[in-house]
Order: sequence, then structure tokens, then C-alpha cells
Amino acid sequence: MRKFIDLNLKGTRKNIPEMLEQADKLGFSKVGVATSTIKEIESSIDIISRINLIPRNTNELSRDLKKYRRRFEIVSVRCNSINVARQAAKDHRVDIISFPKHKNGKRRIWLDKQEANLASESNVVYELLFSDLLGKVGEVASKTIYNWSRELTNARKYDIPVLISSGASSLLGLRGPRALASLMVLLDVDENEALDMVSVTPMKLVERNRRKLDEGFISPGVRVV
Amino acid sequence: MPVRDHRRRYLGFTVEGLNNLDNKIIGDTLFDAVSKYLGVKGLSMANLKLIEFNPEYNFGIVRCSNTYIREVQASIALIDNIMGKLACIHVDRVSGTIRALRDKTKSKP
Repeated sequence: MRKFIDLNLKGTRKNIPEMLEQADKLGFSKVGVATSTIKEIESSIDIISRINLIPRNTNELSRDLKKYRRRFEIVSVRCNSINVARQAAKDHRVDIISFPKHKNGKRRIWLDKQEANLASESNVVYELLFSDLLGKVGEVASKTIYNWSRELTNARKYDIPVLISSGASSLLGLRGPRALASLMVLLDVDENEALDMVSVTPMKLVERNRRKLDEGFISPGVRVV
Repeated sequence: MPVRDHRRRYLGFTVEGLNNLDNKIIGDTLFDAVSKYLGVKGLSMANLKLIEFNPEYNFGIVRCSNTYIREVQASIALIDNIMGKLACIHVDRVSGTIRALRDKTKSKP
């Protein structure tokens, strides 16, 4: 049976407990929470610590990665400039890359072929945020779907794993795993591949990183027993 | 033996964030959402029909074509307001018959 993961909940200290309860009810077995107070949260659901970095330049990215890599299970980078995007795609310490949305749906920085080529060599995962599309209508919605479609084509071409997460910051922004996967119908992705984007891909990423953060880990394939 | 041309699926859904809604409001919301993302042609192909909605439990059943189930689910997932107020709709169950759906969601009416 599939186990589903939503790797991006952005709740506050106040609403995160009820969001976790709702995620559990919707069928998620693990959730990634981008909140600094994660250790204080008690929940029956498995919580994955995550940090969303939004560096202004490559120096800031390197400094943040050095500081936070060992402290969080998932490190995500929102690429606001082309230099940051290229550096993030090359860096093995980065788990997830995503790109900022613009108000009119247009994007200057996206997962183009060069970015995809770099990302394919460093095990970076590309993330689609459901919240980028929620509430959008007309031109903005169509451009968002068009951008996703272009990026997904490049991701597939260069074998970059893709995951979908809700990016919810409130209870009403949460959706069930099958609802998230069903969105991929808009991009002509078949059902099994779409379900993998909310189950297999994030699960592999979390397991890999948890192994790396284990005390005995030295390098891939080498550990102290 | 006669065989039905178009197979159907029944989706059991729950509305979150709002109470005291009626069939008309829910029906309009669902039809608007599907036509917004699939267009009028898609809406006609999806063969959407609201079967029932119980405002007491905020639970309802909607019928659609077997081949358009994912499209309808995606459209429902993208609903973020009902009558301009923040709300969302979660699809709890999908079934091939209303009876099976009602059996699976026994806790609900």
C-alpha cells in the first residue's frame, strides 16, 4: 500500500497542530514542516524537519547550506536569481529546488534545459507547489500550468525526480494526496506517475536524508557499525 | 445482456470551512469549478451531476463519467471558495455505485 507524504506545510506555531491532524485524516503518513518550533509539536504523524532557503546570492546560499544542512532533514532552495538557481542545482547539499511565481504568471527563472542538466547530476528534486495554482484564475492559472508543463518536460528529459506538495499555510489550503496527484491530469501525467510524485519520490528523499543524518554515516555506502 | 454505454463513478465529498450550505450552492460551485478548468465541452463530457448533499454533515455525493474522474477530482481540489467565502472540498471516497459509497461512508448519512 502506498504511503503518502506532503513535504511542505508552512503553518504557524498556532495552526500547525490542527494542520497535522487534518493531514493525518486526509491520509498522509509523513509531513514536512517548515517551522522552527518543530521539536515542540506533538503529533501522531511522522514530522520531517524542513527549511526553505531564499538566498539573495550564491555566497548566502553556501553560508546557509553550511549552517543548516546537518540541522534539517530537508533543505529546499527557492531560486530568486539565475546564479542562485545554477549553484543550487549543482550543490549536492540541496534536496529540493523550486522557482518563484510572479503575479502575472510569467517567470524569468525556471527549470530550463541548462538548469535541468545541472540538477540531473546532483540528485536534486524539483518541487511543484499546489498553492501556486490554488485560487488563480484566467491568464495567471493558464500561465502557471504552462510553466509547469515546460518544466515537467525538461525534468522528464533529464531524469529529475518531481514531487508535488501542498505548500499550505492554513487548514483550508490542505488537500488529500489523491487530489494533489489528480492535478497532474492538467499536465497529461498518467495516474501512477502522479501518485509516485506524492509517495515514492518524497519517501526516497526522506529515507536517503535520514540515513545521511544517522550518527554512524560517513559517506554513501560507508557507515560505522 | 444490455451493457451501459457510459460507466459512472460516484464521489463522496466533504465541505470544510462553511456550514449551512444547500444543494444549489454546492451544485453551482462544482459545476463552476469543472467548467473553469475543463471548459464547457469538458463539463459535458464529464457528465457531472450532484446526487445529494446533506448540510447537517457537510457531506455530499456527485456523479461523473468513469473516464473523467481525475479531471473532476482536480477541479474539485482547486476550489478555494464557495460564494466568495474561504472553503475547500475534499473527496473522501470514490465508488462505482451509490450503495457501495454509502456503505463505505457509514458514519455519514
